[in-house]
Amino acid sequence: MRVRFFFFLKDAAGQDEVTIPAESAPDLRTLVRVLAGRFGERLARQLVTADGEIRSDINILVNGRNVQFLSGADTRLKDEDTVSFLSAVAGG
Amino acid sequence: MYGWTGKILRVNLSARSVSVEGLCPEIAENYLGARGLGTKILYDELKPGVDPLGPDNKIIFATGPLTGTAATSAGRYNVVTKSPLTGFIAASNSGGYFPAELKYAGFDAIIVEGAADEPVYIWVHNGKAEIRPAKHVWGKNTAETTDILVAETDPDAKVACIGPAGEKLVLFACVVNDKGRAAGRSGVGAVMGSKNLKAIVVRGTGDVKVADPAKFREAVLAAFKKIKESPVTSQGLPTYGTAVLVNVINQHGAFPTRNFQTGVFEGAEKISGETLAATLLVRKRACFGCPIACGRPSAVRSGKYKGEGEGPEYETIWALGAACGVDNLEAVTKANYLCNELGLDPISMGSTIACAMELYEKGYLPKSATDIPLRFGDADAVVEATRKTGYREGVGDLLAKGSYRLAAEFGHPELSMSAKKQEYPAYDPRGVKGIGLNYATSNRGGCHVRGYTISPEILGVPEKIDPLSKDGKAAWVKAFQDVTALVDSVGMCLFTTFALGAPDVASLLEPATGIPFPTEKAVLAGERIWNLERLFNLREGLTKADDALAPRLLTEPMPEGPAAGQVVELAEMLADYYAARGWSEDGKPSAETLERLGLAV
Repeated sequence: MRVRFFFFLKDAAGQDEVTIPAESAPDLRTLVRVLAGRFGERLARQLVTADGEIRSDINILVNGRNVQFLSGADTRLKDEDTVSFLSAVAGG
Repeated sequence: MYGWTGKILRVNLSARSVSVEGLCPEIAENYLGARGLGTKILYDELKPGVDPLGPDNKIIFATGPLTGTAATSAGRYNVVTKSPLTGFIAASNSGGYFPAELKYAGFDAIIVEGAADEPVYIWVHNGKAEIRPAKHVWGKNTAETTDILVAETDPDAKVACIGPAGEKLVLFACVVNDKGRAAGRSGVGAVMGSKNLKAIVVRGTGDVKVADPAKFREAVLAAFKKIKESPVTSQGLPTYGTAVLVNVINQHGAFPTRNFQTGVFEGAEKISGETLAATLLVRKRACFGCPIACGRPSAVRSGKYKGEGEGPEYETIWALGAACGVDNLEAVTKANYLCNELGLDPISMGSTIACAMELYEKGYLPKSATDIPLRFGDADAVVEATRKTGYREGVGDLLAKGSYRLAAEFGHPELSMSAKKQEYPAYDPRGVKGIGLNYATSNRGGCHVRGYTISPEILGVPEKIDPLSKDGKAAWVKAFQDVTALVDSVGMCLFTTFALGAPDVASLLEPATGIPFPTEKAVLAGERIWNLERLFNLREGLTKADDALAPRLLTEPMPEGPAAGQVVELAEMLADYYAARGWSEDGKPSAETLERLGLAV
């Protein structure tokens, strides 16, 4: 799947996107664990809380839909999906 | 009075007279200031049905009780008048340093009435005012005008002025203050132009007294702490400015592209906030008393789009970029500079060009009607069409009427992406349903900053709600509209609401004014102001049919992206909204509602 990082998460990852096979991250919870392990502490702190839960102040989209309105951390992922991680921002 | 100066300046340009009046304490308590005070004055003083560009219209420049105080981001004012674009109420909000200076000069508001027989400006300084000739700056752009008028008044004076667009009555001309800040929407600049009023220049050395300095300071520090603790207001906006939203909204498939024909723009990355920050951004700039500092001074160093100025903001990038199919950030930035210099609302400008492009490409706008080809994706055409509109040259004379009148003239009003004849901003409501209801019901026509439900629907602030659902949106829209009316009317910036809520605003208002303001009372003032705007519009002939959206949004499913297949279910949301507001089925406030809000005659 295509994983994209935006804003401060891009800075923390050091790149704007990466491809992760669905077989190594079949759901969002696993994907976040994989990313936290792969990109190190700085990104991990912005993705998960001290308790290991996905942080609520970032927005994660799967094919443009916020995972909150899919199955949250249990959202299933496929190779053709695009998963976007957006840090908390606003404008207007 | 505390918070307020207690004085209003009235200038009659026909009689060439100036006078000072007291601010009625009861009006101040019920309508606060800025947007609310301006609306109350306009409602009480304007005869229904006046020509917005005639001498009988009035234009009010009003600050809030917190403007110019130490309250967080409290440097705002509103320009309130009857809009020549919509025929309904206009209340355009701006920051910078002009608003606080007006308070320091001794006035909460300036009411301008009548019309001068030749160009003038108003010079306001330390409780006094005079009408001065402005022939020498007529025709000058906003930056030139500002420099000349500062040089001939006071080096610390602040200027709000119009550019050539306002002079030539472009229906979406804006008022620009401090060179780069604008009361942008609804054509308030054209009203100034119709009165031969080029500028208002202010300078004051007074201050704003607050009732309980110790308690006020405590409330200011508490609000400041929240601003600094919020990742949005302490990191996101300061780092990327508003343009951060380009990628966010495009990711959601709600980034209106080529006149709302789709919600996914293939060139978004090239015009994103990150690209702006990495290429053209010079530094950050804050308005008066603002720790957020979302302003973006920028420069295009070389090439045919060379220039420097402020912005572009998210809305501008969208309007002059994606809406027109343009992915050239330097061209967008150049067109934005032109909007600032000529005094044009970039949202309506870009959206009107986009409408013209669709009319042109579909053959509805004949080639003979325009002196430049208007094709989607043509960056040079956008820059040139913007310049021509500011001077009403060639096709610019057509574009100067806004998209609705333009599209109607060529037989296709349905291609105007507008509500109440004012162009929508940068969110396709097929992908964000609540904002569609807000566009349809906004008292000043298509607008995002009356009730910014993008905050919960997309950004997850204060909580995440589903953008594709219509359920529950009426209550959110009403709540956001009422709180926004409150924030606008106290003189604070709407961006503080990403970190602060109505209780925080109320906690500032009470020690500043010395008047008890429990949260419910403050929010009720916002609701009162919203309803008074509605009453103004109803008196001007508004009906339920005006609470509408373009047919495209209601009947043409979004063709691609995350919102593919979606349309806006406006009728159902509108019925819920009227009920939530305590309005009748045809959109009129009920007798009980008017009684509850203290608006019963």
